[in-house]
Amino acid sequence: MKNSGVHGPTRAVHRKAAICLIFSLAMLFVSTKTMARIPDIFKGYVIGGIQRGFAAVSSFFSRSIGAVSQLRSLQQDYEALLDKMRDYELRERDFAVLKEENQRLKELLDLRSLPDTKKIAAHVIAKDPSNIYSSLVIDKGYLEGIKKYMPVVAYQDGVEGLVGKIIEVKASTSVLQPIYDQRFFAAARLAKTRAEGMIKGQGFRDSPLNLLYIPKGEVDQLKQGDIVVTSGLDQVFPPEIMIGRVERFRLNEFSSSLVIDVWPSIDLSRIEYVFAIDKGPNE
Amino acid sequence: MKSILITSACAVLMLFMQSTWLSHGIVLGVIPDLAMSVLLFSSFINKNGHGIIAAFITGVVADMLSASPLGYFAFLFSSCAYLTTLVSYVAEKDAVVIPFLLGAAATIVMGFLSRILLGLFSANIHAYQIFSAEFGVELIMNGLVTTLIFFLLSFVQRFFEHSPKKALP
Repeated sequence: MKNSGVHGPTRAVHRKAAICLIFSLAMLFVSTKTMARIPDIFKGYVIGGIQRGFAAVSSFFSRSIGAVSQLRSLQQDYEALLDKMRDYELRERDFAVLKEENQRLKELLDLRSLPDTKKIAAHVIAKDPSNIYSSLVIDKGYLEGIKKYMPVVAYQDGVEGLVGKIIEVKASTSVLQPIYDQRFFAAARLAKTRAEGMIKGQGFRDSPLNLLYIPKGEVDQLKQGDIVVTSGLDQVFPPEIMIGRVERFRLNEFSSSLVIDVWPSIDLSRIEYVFAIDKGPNE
Repeated sequence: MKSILITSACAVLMLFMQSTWLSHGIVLGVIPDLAMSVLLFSSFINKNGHGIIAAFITGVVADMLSASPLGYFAFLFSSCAYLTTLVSYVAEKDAVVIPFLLGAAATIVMGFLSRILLGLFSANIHAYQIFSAEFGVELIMNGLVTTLIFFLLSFVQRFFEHSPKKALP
């Protein structure tokens, strides 16, 4: 096991290590205090460009391979779609009736419609290279109108759900903090009882979110499957965006609030396209 | 200098692969740390500390790719590379045991150091959840991946090794 010929690390090794570690800590000190902006241009153009290149290469290969197998299933899909089409024609009639009824009910309730918001579609091109951070990279940056702290949503199975928020904007790419990130927080409420709390990620994509600060008194009305939405009180996320559904809840004896596990409505493991919500100039 | 550049370039390439092609993870969504494995290899064969400098450079690039503050991965990678260089003075490279232990130990060191950094710099610092199943998977995965990387890079070891210039006659 012993190495022959070499007696031990030289001073030069220790010196190199010390310089690297001191530089790292100095950079950390600066970046955590001032969020160093110097490398933004480099990050925006060079790093973002390389990431897009890598994503393009992988998407080219996956699409080429996938296209062959897709052709086979297209015929079957076509037949199935024709059947569905007939079904939808019937449903469309029902939908028109329901739409009219919904409009009448809205007028009765005198609900004010939300101000028009612009949604910027983006493609998820990369993820954080490490397992500690869970950020996602999208292919739109400030050149396309993305701003810091913009809420991000996605659609899956006909449901609009919260994905996260923008935390870093570069020229042509942006970094998105997903809802399962260990530093993600958002004001939330139970859609049914309107009880307000705060949703928090646990750091893992396959773990449920935690809804905190819901009073214990809500326990009688709370049921598995209840919908959790954003409350809008944090001024970051618009109200009534679906976050997920209650999976289970715990009643801690020495706490005044419940701990509720919420399963996100969007499956973030298969997310491809997202929409950043531009709330306008007053954002 | 050549060994630093080649190691850094190879490790950065691995970082880009981790963030794009391997972004969905392999088991439980866990991404293997290929870049770290390359840095461990270079640190182990370069007893003069060139692996530490390459780790620092790669760490800075990782910080730019990641949502982490600048200096976070530079510190973690440099620390692991330094410890690996120290280990290289008391252990000799073999096919399986040493690479596996280095990969697994580097994951543990990163886990503990990330918690220390969390205590020192609270703003936007994330830390490993050391007692989670995901961390266990990452530990084993990094051990296995480091074994594979050590095996593959041993064929091109001369490119990663520092070769001092010979004095003129």
